[in-house]
Amino acid sequence: MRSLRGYRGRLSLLMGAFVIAIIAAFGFGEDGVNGVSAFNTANPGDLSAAHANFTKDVGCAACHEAHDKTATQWIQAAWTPGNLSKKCSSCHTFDGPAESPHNKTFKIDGAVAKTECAMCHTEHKGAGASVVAMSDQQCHACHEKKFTSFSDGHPKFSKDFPSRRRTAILFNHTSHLDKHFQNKRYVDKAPKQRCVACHDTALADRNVPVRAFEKTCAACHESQIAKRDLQLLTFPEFEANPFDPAEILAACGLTKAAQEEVGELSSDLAKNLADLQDGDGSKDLTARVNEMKAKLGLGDPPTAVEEYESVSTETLPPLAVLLLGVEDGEDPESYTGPMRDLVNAMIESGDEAVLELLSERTKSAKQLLAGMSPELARSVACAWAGNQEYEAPSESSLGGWFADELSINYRPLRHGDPVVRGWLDLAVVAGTPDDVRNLLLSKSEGAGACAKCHSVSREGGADKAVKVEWQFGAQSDQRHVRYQHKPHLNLLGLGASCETCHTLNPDAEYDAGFKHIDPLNFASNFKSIENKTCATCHAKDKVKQECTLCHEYHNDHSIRKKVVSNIQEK
Amino acid sequence: MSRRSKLPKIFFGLISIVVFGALFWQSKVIMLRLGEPAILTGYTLMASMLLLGFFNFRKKLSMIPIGRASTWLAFHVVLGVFALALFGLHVGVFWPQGLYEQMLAGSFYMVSLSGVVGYALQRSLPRRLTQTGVEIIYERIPAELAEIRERVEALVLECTEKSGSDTVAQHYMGTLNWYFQKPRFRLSHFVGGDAGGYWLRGPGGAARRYINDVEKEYFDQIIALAELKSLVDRHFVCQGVMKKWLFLHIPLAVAVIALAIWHLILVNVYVI
Amino acid sequence: MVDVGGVATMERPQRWATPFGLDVSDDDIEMLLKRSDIAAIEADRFPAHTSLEGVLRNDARIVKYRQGDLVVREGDYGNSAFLVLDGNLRVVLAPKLPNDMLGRHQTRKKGFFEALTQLWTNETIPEVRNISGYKQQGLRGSADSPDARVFLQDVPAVLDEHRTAVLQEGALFGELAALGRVPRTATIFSEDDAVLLEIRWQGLREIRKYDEGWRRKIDQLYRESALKNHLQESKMFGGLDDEKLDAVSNKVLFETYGSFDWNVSFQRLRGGSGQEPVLARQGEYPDGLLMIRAGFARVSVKHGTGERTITYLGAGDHFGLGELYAAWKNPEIEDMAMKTSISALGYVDVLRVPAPVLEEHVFPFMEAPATTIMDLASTPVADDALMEWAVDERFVNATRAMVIDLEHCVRCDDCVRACASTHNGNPRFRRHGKSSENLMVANACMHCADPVCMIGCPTGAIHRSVQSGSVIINDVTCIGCGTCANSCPYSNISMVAISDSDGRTITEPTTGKPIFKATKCDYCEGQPGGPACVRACAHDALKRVDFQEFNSTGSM
Repeated sequence: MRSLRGYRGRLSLLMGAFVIAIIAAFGFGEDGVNGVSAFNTANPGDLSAAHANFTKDVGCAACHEAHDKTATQWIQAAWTPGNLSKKCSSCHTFDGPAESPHNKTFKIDGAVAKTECAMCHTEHKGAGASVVAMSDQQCHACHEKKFTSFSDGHPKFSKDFPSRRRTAILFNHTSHLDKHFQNKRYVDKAPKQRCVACHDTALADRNVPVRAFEKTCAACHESQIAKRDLQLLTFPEFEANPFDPAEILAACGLTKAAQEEVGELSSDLAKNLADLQDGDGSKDLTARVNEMKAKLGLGDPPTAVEEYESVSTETLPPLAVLLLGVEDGEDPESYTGPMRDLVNAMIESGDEAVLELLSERTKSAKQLLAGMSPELARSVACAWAGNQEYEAPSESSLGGWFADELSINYRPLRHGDPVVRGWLDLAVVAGTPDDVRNLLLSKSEGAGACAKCHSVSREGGADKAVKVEWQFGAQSDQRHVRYQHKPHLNLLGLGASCETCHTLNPDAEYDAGFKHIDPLNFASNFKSIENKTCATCHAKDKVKQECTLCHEYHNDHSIRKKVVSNIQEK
Repeated sequence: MSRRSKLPKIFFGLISIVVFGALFWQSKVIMLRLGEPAILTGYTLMASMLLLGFFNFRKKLSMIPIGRASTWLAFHVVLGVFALALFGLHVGVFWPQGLYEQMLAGSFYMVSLSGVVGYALQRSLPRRLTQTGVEIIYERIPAELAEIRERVEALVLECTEKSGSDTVAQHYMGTLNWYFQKPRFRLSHFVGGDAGGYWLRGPGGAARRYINDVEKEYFDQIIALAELKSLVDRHFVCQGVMKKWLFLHIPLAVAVIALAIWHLILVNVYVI
Repeated sequence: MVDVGGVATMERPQRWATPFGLDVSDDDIEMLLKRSDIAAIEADRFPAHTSLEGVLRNDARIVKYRQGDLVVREGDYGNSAFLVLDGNLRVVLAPKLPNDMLGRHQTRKKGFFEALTQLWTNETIPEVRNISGYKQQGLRGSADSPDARVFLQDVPAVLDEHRTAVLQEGALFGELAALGRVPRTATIFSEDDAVLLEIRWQGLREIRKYDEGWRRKIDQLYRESALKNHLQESKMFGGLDDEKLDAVSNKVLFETYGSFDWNVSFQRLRGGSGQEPVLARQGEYPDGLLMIRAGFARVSVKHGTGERTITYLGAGDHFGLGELYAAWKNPEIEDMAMKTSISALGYVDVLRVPAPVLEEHVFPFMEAPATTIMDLASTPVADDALMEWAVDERFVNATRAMVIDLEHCVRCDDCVRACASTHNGNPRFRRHGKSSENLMVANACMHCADPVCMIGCPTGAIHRSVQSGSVIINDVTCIGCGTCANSCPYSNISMVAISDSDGRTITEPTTGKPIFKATKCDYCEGQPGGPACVRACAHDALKRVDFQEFNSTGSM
């Protein structure tokens, strides 16, 4: 008879054998339904919903290289470090390197030289588990400034927070809210709802965007737009007539004046003929013919040169100088040739000539000349070529390209006119001569007045591009900070509550911040939002306050989009 | 009279508290470095389980001086508690996700629970056995019960012969026979109750009012033997429990160690 | 085992019911009585019921030794003395004979790895022996023959290498060990064929009692060789110079109480303690200090209708000092009677130092005894239960009793298995035995202070290990006679039939009877790390206990 201990020993062996059998049966088993069998001993739990389908085709091997390999490779894998991060980054890509802190090359303090996805993200915690849930401790792993929580020890917000630069549009909140509308003339236009009169809370997100110009500024400022003409070209003064009257006549036909002349001439001719017939005008017939020839411009050139007097006393405007590439817009010797060529070309091909010249400067030449009719260009050119002032067919133009006696101009159709924007953008690109730029951006006259509100900025050194800030834009380019207005608005109540956080600072020298092109040298209309403002609610035992509520680890707001596109590519 | 030395338990207890504290702290440090503390705790847990398992082999190595078994038991008990705490630190949750991990955790908990229960039984049952006043070797119990039964049956026969009445015999056939067949009232004996005595005072002794003086003499002897049997039953049950709880503890421990080794291999192949 | 009812009874055993030697013929008696040394005994002084002839016939035997036969071994316990009738014997003086020559077990401590090999070399079959090893030893006779003994195989070589003294015809030796229950002090072997008269202690005591000449002879030998040493070792007399010691030793009386064979009657009369010989009684006047030299004595006081045991005394203890000192210090006090009784526990050998000797040599130089024995009687009776039990069961004899605390013991038998693992697969004890409350003394050899098992071993196979003091059996020289097993009052020696490694019982070729060997706990002699049973107990329930210490501390 076997002793109790004997049975116990046998049972222990059986148990060991049973476990080994289970491992043998399920440890190396084929990947089952939906890639991985629940009985697979290597399955430490379901994948999160987002990753659940990974295993469909290749099973665990989708992430774990060692899976389904030969015995030797399998054993080797036990001694080699895992490289799961590589597998992650086949779908998850970032602006920076995937295995650097914040996908950026920071100054590395030694503790974390290289990051792995699995350092923070844990999988196999069940279909419902979040892979992205993080604890504050994980952030504190690297961040040297350690603190307990947001409400307790978070570094102070930067000065002028959340503003890190001046606003794109010079819009003095203080004066608009508290000054301009005091004036009885405008009091009926006063924004009764204050902030939300302009800021559209329906679209509130990271920013609360401002409604369109037409719905806001236009009420007062629309009229200022129309008067701002852009002068493209003038007919300058020449010392001698650069044009060949015969060619011009051939190309343009008689000028209007000439036609009138012809009318007169024809009556003169008839009179002369009658005189001739009557015999009355027989006297000095040759003189009469010469007189008529002169009237038709067919007179003797030698006498004409001496007689040439330019109809214009203008010089070339900067845009024309830019367009023609001449050295000096005030020196007839410098511009006569190019101007003659241009006028001739305009006679030949109308606005195409200007387009051709402009194309050498910018790709969006066509846009810059949008709405210029070939006829206008040609008519103007013919008039000028005949040393005559152009006579516009009708005086009033609603806007768009038009010409007056000695110039071709553009009048904005409305706020946001693309042609004017195009020309102003051209003005700020590198290589534009200073005088051209100054003209274009001259706030006092012409289209440059756009820059009165739309700031012209250059962030950084001289090598950086200067741009006109056409759009109401994001205040902060801090991509790792996240804030959403919407939930806060709903919580705090509409409209009036903006100023709970955004408090006007009437003392700020707001306008002074727009006297130069550096957007970072500025004074905010608002007082800085301080930590305590947020911490009023985001504090222990109140609203949650973990790091990831406001901070984004991956320095990239588009990671999700990137995953989708990466998958689509595959 | 004799006292178990608490010294080894205190000694190992203090050491394990220190070790656990160090592991806990180190885990935090590793976590703050975004490392994987489960590697440290896992290997420590594995070592602990192997050391725990070695206790069983220690029993087979009693010929060599490798410390007293009582020291080893103290070590085993303390290390068991330590391993349970370490398991919590390693797994982080009570119930893991994967089926295999659940098997591992389930077995581990069962081993731990059986260990705690077994230890409690081993601390409490010997006292109760001692209080029976009799001492008997477990393997001898079936023979002892048979012997008691034979003596009772002989008494019944003799009683019938001497008294000429079969009242006692009928009572024996109808009632007492059941009692003497095998160990009875096991649960009561296990939990320390007196169901056997209660039964003997009730149904077991019910025939007493119908018998004469001669029969009473025999009947009293039979009841005395029945009471003795109750004590033997108690030994059977309690000694049995003290032996059989290991039927759960040891095979499960083998399973846990086998499962854990495979777990360790998988983790090395797949993750680290 | 459960024991219900049934008390065994028997007739009181009579002197000479079992004679020492069965083959002492009338011719032998006649021959003996003619010898001068025996004729010198005044036979008419003997009472009729114990005549000299009767003593010779029943308490003595004639034993023949062949060349090289060992007669007595140093360290043996023996209960008989020898008179050389014929032939020459040699006493080994120096150097001493090695253990293996004496037929003793040559123990060597096992190394760690050697001990470990037992894990796989242990037999699964019980009691396997390799019989080829048995042939090495010079061993004569078998279990059935009366003259089984170990002999020296090369006597001339022994005589060459060891200094010896000759014992010629008429020499008497072994009487001190026999009367004083002390180990033999020398090894004696037969130089050539010799005839000896072996007288057991009962006979020797009779002769000493009735014959003036023998008494003087024995006492003289005793005083010279043993008594002075003993006194010198004691605390009280240690400081005396030679002259004074001589004076004291001349006045000291030595007495033996109880039966040398107490174990035999104890086994038969378990539990009866009323017949203990009393050394001194409560209420009597003390006439001298009693120094226990061997054996045990119970100190008791009247309590109710019975005697309450206060303590027990073993070798080295003394009795009566407090009363004697008080009487000497304050002669005017009236109550000088003894407050306690002392009686022999089976057997006790005492020295009685008369009061005047103490008054002259001891009391003036000592401080008053700090405590008196009566202090022990102040505790509640319940506290004494354990000691009363230990005394009743004669566990007081134990130096290494296996005591199991049943309240801690989970009955796992790990101790038994540990024992088996160190004894070739055979457990050398049973986890069962007498118990009192929660303490059980298991059936394991207690390695007695008074090892009665060793008396009568024909080959000296059972002996006390010189290295460890444990009582061990040399399996090679054990002839399976069963003397030791029968002598052990605690039934801790088992006779087992041995078998070969195939499980076949080894038998005697001529008779076909199985060969037996005596086995018992050897306290893991030779195993590293001490007794495996203690180490194997996971619950600290099993201890090996010296009852002398156990009693004094009251705990394990």
